[in-house]
Amino acid sequence: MSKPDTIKKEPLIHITKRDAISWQKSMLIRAIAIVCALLFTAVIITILAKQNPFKVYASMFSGAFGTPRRIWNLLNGTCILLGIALAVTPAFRMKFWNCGAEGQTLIGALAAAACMYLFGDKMPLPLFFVVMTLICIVVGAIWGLIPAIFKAFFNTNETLFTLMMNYIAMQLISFFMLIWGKDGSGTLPNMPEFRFPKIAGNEFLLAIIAVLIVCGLMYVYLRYSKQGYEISVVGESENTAKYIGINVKKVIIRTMIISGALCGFVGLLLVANGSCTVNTAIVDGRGFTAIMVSWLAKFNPLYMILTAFLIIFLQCGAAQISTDLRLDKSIGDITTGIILLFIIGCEFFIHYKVHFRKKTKEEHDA
Amino acid sequence: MEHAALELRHVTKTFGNVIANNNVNLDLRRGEILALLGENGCGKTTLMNMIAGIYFPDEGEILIGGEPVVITSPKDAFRYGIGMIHQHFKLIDVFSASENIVLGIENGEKYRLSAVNDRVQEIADKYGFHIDPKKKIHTMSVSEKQTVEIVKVLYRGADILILDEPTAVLTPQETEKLFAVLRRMRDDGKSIIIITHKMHEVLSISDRVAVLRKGEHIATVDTATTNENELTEMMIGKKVTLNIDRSEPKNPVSRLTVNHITSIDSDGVHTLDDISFTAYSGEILGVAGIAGSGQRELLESIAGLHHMTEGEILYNDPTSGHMENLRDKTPIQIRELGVRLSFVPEDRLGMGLVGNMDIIDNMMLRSYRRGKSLFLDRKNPKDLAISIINNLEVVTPSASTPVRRLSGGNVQKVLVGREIAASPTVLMAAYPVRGLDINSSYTIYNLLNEQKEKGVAVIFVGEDLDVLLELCDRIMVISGGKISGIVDARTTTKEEIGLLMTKDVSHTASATKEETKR
Repeated sequence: MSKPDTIKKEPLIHITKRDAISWQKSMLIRAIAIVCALLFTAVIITILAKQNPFKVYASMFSGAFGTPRRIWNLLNGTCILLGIALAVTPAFRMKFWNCGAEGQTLIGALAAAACMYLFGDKMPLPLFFVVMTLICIVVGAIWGLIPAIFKAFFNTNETLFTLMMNYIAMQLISFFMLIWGKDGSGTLPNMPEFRFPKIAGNEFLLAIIAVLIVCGLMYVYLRYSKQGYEISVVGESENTAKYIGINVKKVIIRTMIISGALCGFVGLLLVANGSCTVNTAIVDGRGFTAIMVSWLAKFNPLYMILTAFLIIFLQCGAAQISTDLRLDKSIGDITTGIILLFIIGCEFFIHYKVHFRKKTKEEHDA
Repeated sequence: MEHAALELRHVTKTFGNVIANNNVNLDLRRGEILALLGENGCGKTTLMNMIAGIYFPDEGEILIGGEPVVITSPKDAFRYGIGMIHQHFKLIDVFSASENIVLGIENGEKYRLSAVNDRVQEIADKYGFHIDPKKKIHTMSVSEKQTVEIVKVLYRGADILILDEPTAVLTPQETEKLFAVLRRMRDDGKSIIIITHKMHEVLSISDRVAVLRKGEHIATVDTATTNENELTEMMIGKKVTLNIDRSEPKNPVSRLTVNHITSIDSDGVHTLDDISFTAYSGEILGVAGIAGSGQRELLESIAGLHHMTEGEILYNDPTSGHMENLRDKTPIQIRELGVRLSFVPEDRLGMGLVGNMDIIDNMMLRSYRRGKSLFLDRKNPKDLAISIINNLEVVTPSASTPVRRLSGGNVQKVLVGREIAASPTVLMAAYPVRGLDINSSYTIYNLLNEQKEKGVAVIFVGEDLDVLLELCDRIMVISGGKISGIVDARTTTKEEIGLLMTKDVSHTASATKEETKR
């Protein structure tokens, strides 16, 4: 029996799970994390880019809030991302890992553009808006329904299935752009005549209001409705769900229809309240970023407003840094990455307590 | 004087605000079996986990052979010759016994399975284990798996063995075999700590008994000089009567008639084979049998969760007098027929409750559908949660605490409380006191008795024969998916039931399974 050399010594650090933490304290930990992140990026910027970090922060801030136009862009971007995050949330609460928000949104966008191209001028504009909205929602729902059916009846892996559906959606857009692109360029012309009307002279306000309404509805649906409760039970334990007589297949299918339909709706907003055309890059990875938004907010729709805002703020800021300071785009990305890492990392200190030898000091900074 | 094999001095461990162990002093001599006794949540497992390197004590020290040691990981524990056999086995199903045993050992030697097999066989022969080193884990019975776990720690040269409730999953016969092995290991100079709730086992196996209460060490006494009552008193701090009241059934009416039900699993094995019996109102029908003899399938068939290939289940509705056939009905359809059937399943947190939800939301599981509204009513479930917490003395910070944070006994009170609140006419409970301390167990027995007196037909699947004999009116014994006998609990004996449990061995579930595989 060999003996270790360090006899009668407590380990330097040991970690215990916290029982519960007050709201104020957890906020304090988060605030400290952000301060630490800013200090750390300042050091990195000074060393790597030889720039004054305060100038970098200022440019980041101006990228997000510099002009009214930028502010509206920021808000619109937040809303689109929030919309997709809200869409994946019911599925995620059910522990159905829907990685197909990208494709479901793309197919919604394609449906909107197709409506404009094919019969936009064949009916009065208000009626057309209603028809287009319905079609986009239904198409998105179908894109969500397909993997749900396979999951419910054949227990296929939903992650792979939904991922593959993304590529199909993308290729469908390429296909139709080739057919419909009149000049053979493979792009669809802009059709601004079918754009949703401005509200109070602002082109973004409609999308922002629509997504905020959806956010409120989703919060109520998940927290206070019977269907939302069923989603939670199925997500937590399928056995319990069966035991109390929940039809698990039905819940999976119903929830994915909602998830897909919402994605379809966001796709509609991207086209009919945005570009008025479609291309394969229109969703631009936001179907995946939305997963992070949803997780960071612990699947709470109200918190998602904050997490979506944070991510878009960082993106706008990062873009501005590279243009203002003529730096490589990667400096912006590094800044964004560090800040996100600190914010996510501080959750560890919210859930666990770190003890040092002989002292019971708490560690807040990551 | 020779040093004790293991000593704990002033060991304290807290989790958040909860003190799991407070200033515990304990010593384990060489070549003895020490039973560790205490109610649920009194800190037995926490204490043992500190010895096994899973937790690290906040204060105090651990001495091995008189030397203070630091154990920060299970690896350290092995180095000091400490091996723990956990309640839940940690084995890889598709590996053989030997492969599991050798897994994770880094001794620099070349890996030769045949040498391992020989060594395993050698250990088995030495202590009288029955083990086939080449047998795959997934084909093993629970008791065989346990044997693998024990051999695993012996293989690593453990001198101090800790067994966490090893008998909870064993039949009386298997328990006897295990005890014989433990005695042989003790005589070989090994020191053994055994955690168990069953008092007669403590008395029959141990040399000394250490009692914990609320995280504190109360006393260590020689088994030879103590008795059941004294130990119980030390354990719970006050005298309790160990008798369960049993009233005569009042005007029993047949409530549930099961006719010839048979079910076949995906391997073609008869999990239920031509089961027929009647459950009467106002009586407790006990179901005894070796674990996995078809108890779960039987209850789940009645609850509409398990598909049966033949037979029928007739429910005699006390209000309308109609007979309803429950076969091939879903739980919802059964409920819609007006059948008030409550079911306390074996897997509390995985089936009966949702661990991450609070008590209120768990109450809602049964009632949330009520009413036409699209939205949930949390008011009534909240009232129910509060009344269950008060009436059954559930220890919880509040009604909005997730149930997984509660101790085993409190979880069960919440579950049984909810099922009883539905004022059932049939109440089925599978192992409702498994893992519960004496106080909580008696709360559950009393609740079942109350239901019986209200005229409910209670079906109680149990494992402790002493309890079955004291609590039930009739006991149905099943063996290998068949009924091997239904006896009067007032006149039968433990021996008779034990024999029925193993009757017709050639047709037990495991035997049939192997036959069909060939």
